[in-house]
Amino acid sequence: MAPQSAAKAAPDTRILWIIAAGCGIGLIGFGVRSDFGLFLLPMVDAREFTKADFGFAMALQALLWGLGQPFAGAMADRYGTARVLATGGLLYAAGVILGALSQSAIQLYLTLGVLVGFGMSSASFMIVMGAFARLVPAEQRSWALGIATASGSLGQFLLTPLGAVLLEAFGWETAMIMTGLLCLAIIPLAIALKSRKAEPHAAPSALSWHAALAEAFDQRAYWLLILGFFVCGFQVTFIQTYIPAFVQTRGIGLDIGAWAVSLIGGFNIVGAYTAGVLGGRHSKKYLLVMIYLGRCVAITAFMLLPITPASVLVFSAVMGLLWLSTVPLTSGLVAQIFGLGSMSMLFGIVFVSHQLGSFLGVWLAGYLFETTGSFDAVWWISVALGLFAAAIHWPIDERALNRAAVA
Amino acid sequence: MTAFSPHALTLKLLGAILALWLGVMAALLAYAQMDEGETGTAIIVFPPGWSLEQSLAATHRADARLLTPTAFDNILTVAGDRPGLVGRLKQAGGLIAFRNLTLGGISFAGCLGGDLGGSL
Repeated sequence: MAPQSAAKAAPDTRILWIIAAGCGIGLIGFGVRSDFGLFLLPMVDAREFTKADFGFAMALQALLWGLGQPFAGAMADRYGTARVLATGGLLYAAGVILGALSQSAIQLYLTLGVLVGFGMSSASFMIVMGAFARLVPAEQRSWALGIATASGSLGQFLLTPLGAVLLEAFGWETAMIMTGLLCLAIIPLAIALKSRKAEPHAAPSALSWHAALAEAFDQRAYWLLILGFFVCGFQVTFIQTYIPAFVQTRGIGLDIGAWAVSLIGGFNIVGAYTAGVLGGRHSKKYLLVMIYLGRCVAITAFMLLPITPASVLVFSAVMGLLWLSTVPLTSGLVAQIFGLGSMSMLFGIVFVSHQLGSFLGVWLAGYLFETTGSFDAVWWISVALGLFAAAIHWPIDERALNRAAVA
Repeated sequence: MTAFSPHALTLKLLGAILALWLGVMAALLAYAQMDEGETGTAIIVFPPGWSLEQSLAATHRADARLLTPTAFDNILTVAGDRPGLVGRLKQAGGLIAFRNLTLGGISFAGCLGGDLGGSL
């Protein structure tokens, strides 16, 4: 089998450069995004826009990031990863730098909202994952998807304090411009992921976009992956957004809520990497079943046992391990079932579902809290959705699509 | 030809990223620290291992008042009105001082465990 021999022959240095560059892109792409919250208050103080304007720009950014992902993925599948990543890096940098110079709400929407949103969809670790899947031998693919996901999480973990210190040292405007300049580093890093000739494990992309989409949407497995990732988005974004406020409603200090978010981030790095490694050895769909069931058990125990600072921190650590661990497994299943030719586009569509779930989770939690004064209902909805996600992953046929049989 | 070891590569990469990050953070923290002549509000870091009582006593000696404690006994948010607050804090044993800074609505001290002031 060719990939087997390629793996044995693959010199460390070549893989090292590919993985290092891809992880650098994932780290910057996901990490810089986590710095935006730092600039909220100083920007609002200094400019003529409100917190609501800033919030709208962030919402627009998240929406366009999700909606742009399939298109960026399709371009990467068709024209090569490096060009898409480099363009994304340029848009991202321009959005952040021009955002720092924005004087009005509309300028903020166009920069931090539109430019950064599309920049993120083109320079995200999701695009890197498509490149890794093609560049790395098949038996290391799941590990590579895991390390790409973990690099994004690590970026969030490392760049937030870095952004805070930049803010302290240089003031918000210069700090934001420097953060934007950091995004330009994506362009040279993309060179390591360049050229389809360098993608020895890529299957030739025989299918047109239309044919690849028609083929995927004709498969029950693809619909089940889309539905499952919706649940992931719902759960993680609800918890990440509201856990500080939730613990306050239970009489626990907001500092514990802040620690909870940090713990989720830290354990997420370990969880994403471990899931990638395990996905290379075991059935991905059963691992996903276990992750969704694990979340259900964790949330149920958290809600039924007395809520204390210790229980909040233990829950956060467990949830961190189960956090983005779904990403390498879900993307790996897309590659495994549908092949590598249209992987970035197909996973991009699955990711749109994740973002829709995120939107619903955050909105519903806010709405129910306003109307009932409690987050409890959303926790139990999360458990129900988790059981649903576990159930629908079980029957997924993990085998590669037999195109001859389909035809 | 070299046998490929994913975990070894991961550790190398993680080590390189952390080393780079620590270097940049150290340089930025050194640059961002308050000058000895400055006054106002400061996050003061006392030597690791100091008890809260030791930190509070040093704050008092520096003619500063406590604004918020943090999750760490040796790190306090303090304030003073007389010029030269940072210099006095360092004479009293403080290692390094920063301005009070905000992380997305949570004060720096708050993130470390102090009073968050319900700012979220």
